[in-house]
Amino acid sequence: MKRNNSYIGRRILSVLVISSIFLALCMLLGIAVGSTTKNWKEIFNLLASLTDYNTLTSTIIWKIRFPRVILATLVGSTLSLGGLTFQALLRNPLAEPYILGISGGAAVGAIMGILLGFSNYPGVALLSFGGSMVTLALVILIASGQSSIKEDSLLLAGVMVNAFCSSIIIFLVSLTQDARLHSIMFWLMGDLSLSSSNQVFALAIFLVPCFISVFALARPLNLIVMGKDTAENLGINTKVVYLISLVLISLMVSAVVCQSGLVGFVGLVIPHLLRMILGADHRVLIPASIIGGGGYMVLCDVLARVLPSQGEMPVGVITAMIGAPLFIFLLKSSRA
Amino acid sequence: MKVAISAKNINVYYGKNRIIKDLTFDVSCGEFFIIIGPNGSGKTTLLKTICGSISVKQGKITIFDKSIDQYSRKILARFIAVVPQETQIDSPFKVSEIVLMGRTPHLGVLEFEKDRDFQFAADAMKFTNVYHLRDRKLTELSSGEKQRVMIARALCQEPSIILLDEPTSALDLSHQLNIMDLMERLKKERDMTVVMVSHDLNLAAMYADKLILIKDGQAVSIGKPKDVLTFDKLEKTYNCVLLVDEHPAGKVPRVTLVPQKFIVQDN
Repeated sequence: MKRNNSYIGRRILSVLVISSIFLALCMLLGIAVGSTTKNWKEIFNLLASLTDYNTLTSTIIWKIRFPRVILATLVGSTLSLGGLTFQALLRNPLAEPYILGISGGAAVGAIMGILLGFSNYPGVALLSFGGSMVTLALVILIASGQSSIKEDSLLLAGVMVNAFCSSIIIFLVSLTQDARLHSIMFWLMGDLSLSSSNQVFALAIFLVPCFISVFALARPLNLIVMGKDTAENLGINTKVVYLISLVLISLMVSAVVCQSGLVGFVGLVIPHLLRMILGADHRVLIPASIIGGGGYMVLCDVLARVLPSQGEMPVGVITAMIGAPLFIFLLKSSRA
Repeated sequence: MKVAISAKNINVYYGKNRIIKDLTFDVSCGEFFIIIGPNGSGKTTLLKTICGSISVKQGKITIFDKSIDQYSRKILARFIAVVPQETQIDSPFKVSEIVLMGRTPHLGVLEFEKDRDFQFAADAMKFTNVYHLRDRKLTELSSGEKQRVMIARALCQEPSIILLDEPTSALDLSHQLNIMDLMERLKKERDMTVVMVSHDLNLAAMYADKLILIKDGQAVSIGKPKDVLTFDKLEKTYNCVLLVDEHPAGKVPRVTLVPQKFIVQDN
């Protein structure tokens, strides 16, 4: 074969470069577009000079739009990576944190934490993580029969757990008029506008090492896609891989849900699209999902801000409008 | 002759069910060893026990004179390769990518495949005659082609023992012979030990150096095909009417089924 030493390394590198350019363009668009649209020239000057901190424009850009774009990127990255990883681990192309009810569990945990008066870190974050782990365990328990996890029962279990979590969210939020709680809309459909820049950067510092850790599991994930027994016969300790990746993804998803509410279907759209373009190797798919998913989320957020004539709509509306039809299409074609 | 796999009084349980009962056998290096027996007799369980996927409760399995639980998974994967019965995936992996996965036990966690590994994959694909399919997706292949891809992946592990679970069960006649001849070549040319589960008594008779016939997890007979595939033992094991004679072209037993309607009534 005419392939030299760094064939896979070079593939990863080219995917990194191309997806980074895509992300950078999305971020630029996300910073430039908004209810008080500035002209491009002014924004480029501002971004290029980094000095002009005192004008209204610079405040809007650096204090409001920039953190928001970063948050959107982190949310998109985490959810696409979560979808990709779940699809590999559960060997089900329709698995995704939102569809499986993991995001819902994290939201319930977070709301309970807030109502119990815990501080954001570590109280609310820990309860949120606990919530996501409990729902994950529940879904896998319901879906697993004697031996393997059946495709339909996994989705059914996810749908039910998700519905249950949504009703608890509505119940808890309606019951209390607690000012510390976000609106029902925030929790159910996602909202990227409410985070401060400090929270966003704390989130980034937490998530980036997680991204790298999941990348280290890329080869075992490839083998697990081929079947658990096969992976073990090729020398992989699958129990360890399952444990580490499920805990990591739940941690990341719950951290994201605390800042953005429930944003669905991102983890379905991006991994599926990338698999069609790039093939099935997770060493390529993981970096592509992280960076590409971030860009996709920024674009969805731009639409959510620009489309309404007044104010903005929850970003989850956009992602669901794109993702749900794709989900139905995938479900249909997987049965063909 | 050097012993590759040795089982001494092994007992294997699924929960409380004892699936394998007091089995004892040896497989020599370079031997073609075939496990036969009725459905549910524990053939696949035995294979999974030999590759370390299931652990024995009592008794001991040794691989090259060392107890199997003294090897780590990764080390074990460097000399035992398993070809699964069937591989069902949705992911668009290419044939070459799947064959390269066989290099995993020889690579570090974050190490990329090197020239040497690509060379191994290419050689393995040429050996099993799937090199021309290397850029196709596995999902597009026929079951015979898929099976040969899986064997190529196994060869990529550079194993000295290869385990196969009913590799011919989904294949037509020529593909069955093709796979069995491939195993014969591995044995002869590379001195590989081949352990196979099979339903096909005639294929087993033609290729095996040694057979183990099991029923309900117990060995009915172990030995050369002509000693194991006898009328008495087969009738006792399978509870049906059979005819055992000699293969017209070779000195191995031939087993023929006899349906009820062929049995002449005496009246």
